[in-house]
Amino acid sequence: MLKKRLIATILLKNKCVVQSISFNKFLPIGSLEIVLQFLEKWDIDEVIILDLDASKNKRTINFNLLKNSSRKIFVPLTVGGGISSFDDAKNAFHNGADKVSINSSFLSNNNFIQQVVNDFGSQSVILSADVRIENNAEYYVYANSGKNKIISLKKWIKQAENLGAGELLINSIVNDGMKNGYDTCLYQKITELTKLPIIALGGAGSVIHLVDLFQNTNVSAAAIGNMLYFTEHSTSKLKSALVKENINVRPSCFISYDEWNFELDGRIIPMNLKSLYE
Amino acid sequence: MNKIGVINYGLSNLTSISNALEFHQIPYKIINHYDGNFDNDYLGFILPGVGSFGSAMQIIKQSSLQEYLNLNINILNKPILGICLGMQLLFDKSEESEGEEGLGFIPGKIVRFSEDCLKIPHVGWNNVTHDNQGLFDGVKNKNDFYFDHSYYSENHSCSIAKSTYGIEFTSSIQYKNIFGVQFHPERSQIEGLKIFLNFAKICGVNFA
Repeated sequence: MLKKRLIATILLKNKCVVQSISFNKFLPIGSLEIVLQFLEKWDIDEVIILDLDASKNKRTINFNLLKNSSRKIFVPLTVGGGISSFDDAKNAFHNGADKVSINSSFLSNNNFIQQVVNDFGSQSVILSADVRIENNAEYYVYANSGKNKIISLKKWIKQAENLGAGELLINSIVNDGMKNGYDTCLYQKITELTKLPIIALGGAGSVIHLVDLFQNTNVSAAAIGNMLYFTEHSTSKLKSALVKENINVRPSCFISYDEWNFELDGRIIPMNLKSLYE
Repeated sequence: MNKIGVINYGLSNLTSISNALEFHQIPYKIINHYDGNFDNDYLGFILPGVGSFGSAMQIIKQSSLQEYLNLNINILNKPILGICLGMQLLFDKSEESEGEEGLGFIPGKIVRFSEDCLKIPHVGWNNVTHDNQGLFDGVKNKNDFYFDHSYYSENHSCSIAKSTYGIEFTSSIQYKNIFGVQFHPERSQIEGLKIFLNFAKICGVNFA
C-alpha cells in the first residue's frame, strides 16, 4: 500500500540551514550535509531544500554545496528557490536532485517548465503556490511572499495540470510558521479539484496536526519545517506516534520508537519504572 | 573488465546512481551516448531512466547505443539492470509513446495507470513483495521502496516482485540475463542499496 509521506523542508540562507520565524528572523541550525545525514538516519521519506535568497538575488542554489552534501543521501531530494530556466533545472538534476520545485504564480508564460517536463518527465517537476482565502469564499494564489493576488487557485491548478506537473506543493500563507495546524479546508478542497498528488505545507507544530491533516484530507504528503529541529530523533518519533494513531506512514528502518507511547503533542510518555525492573 | 557500465543516454540523473554504487565501492564507469565508440569492457550494465519512453528511445537509437546493447545483452549475454523508465525501455512498446519501439529484450507492453480512482503519478513509498532470490537476496520482504511513475508493466510471467496501486503490477522483473526494477533503489535507503550489491554479484564484479 502506498504510504503517506513525511517531507522535511530545509531552508537555506548563505549556505547555512536556518529555522525561519515568520520569514523575518532566522535561527542558524548548521551545515546542510549534517542536517541531511541526520534526517536520513531518522527515516525521513523525502527532503525539499529551499534556498530563501536565491530568487531575490536572481541566482540558484549553490550546486557544489548540493552535490557535496547529498553524496550519502538515499531518499528523494527536491531543490527549490531561483529555478527559472531549463539549465537551472538540468544543473539541479546533475548535482543530485531528483525533482525541482518551481514557485510561480504565472504559469501561462513559463515555457521552460514545459521543456523540463518533456525532457526529464512529469515526475521531476513540483509546482508550488502560496495560497490564501479571500472573503471566506475562494482561494487565490499570491506572489511576492503573499503581497500580490494573481489568480484563483482553481485556474492555477488547471494551468499546472496542462503543463504536466508531477506534484503540487501548496503553502497556506496564513498558517505558515504558526505551528497551529494545517488549513484542512484548503487541502480538502484542492484534492477534489485535481488528481495530482498534493503536498501540504504550512502550520505543522505537533503530531496532532499531522493526524488531523491525514485523517481529514486526501493529501499525499505533509511537509514539515520547524518541527524537525532541537529534538533528537524528531522524525523517527513522529513516525512512531503517527503509526500509533493508525496513520499509514512508512515504518522506520534505522531507529524505532514503536515500544513507546506518545502524548498528542508528540512527547514520549515515560514507561512505568516498575515494569522496567521486573 | 571488472566493472559495471552505467548508460548515460542524455538527460537522466546519474548522480544518485553513482552515489549508490560508490557507497558499496562497486567499480563502474559512465558510458556516454555521445562518445560514439563504446568498448566491450564491462561485466554488466545499468540503464537508468527519467523522462519519456519516446524521447529516451530516440536518443538510444540515434547514438547507436541500441546496437551496442543488442550485442552485449542478446549475443554476449551480459546482465543488465533497468531502473524505472530504464526497466520500461527493456520491453517491446509503451502506451506512453505509441509507435515507438522499445529495446525489445522482454516481450510485453507498458501501460498507464487508470485515472478513475488513482492519483497519478504513483509517487511515494510502497511495499514490494518478492521471494528473496537474486536481486532481492537479503532484502526484507514487503519492504517499502520509493516509486515515481505513471506507467507500469502488467502482471508478467517473468515478474520477480509485485506491488499494488489500485491493481497489482510488476515492480521487478527478470527474463534470462535481463533485470528491471520499477522503483528507485538509489532512493530507497539501506534496502535499496542492497539491490545494487546483489546486481554487482550477479555480474561477477569483484569489489571491497
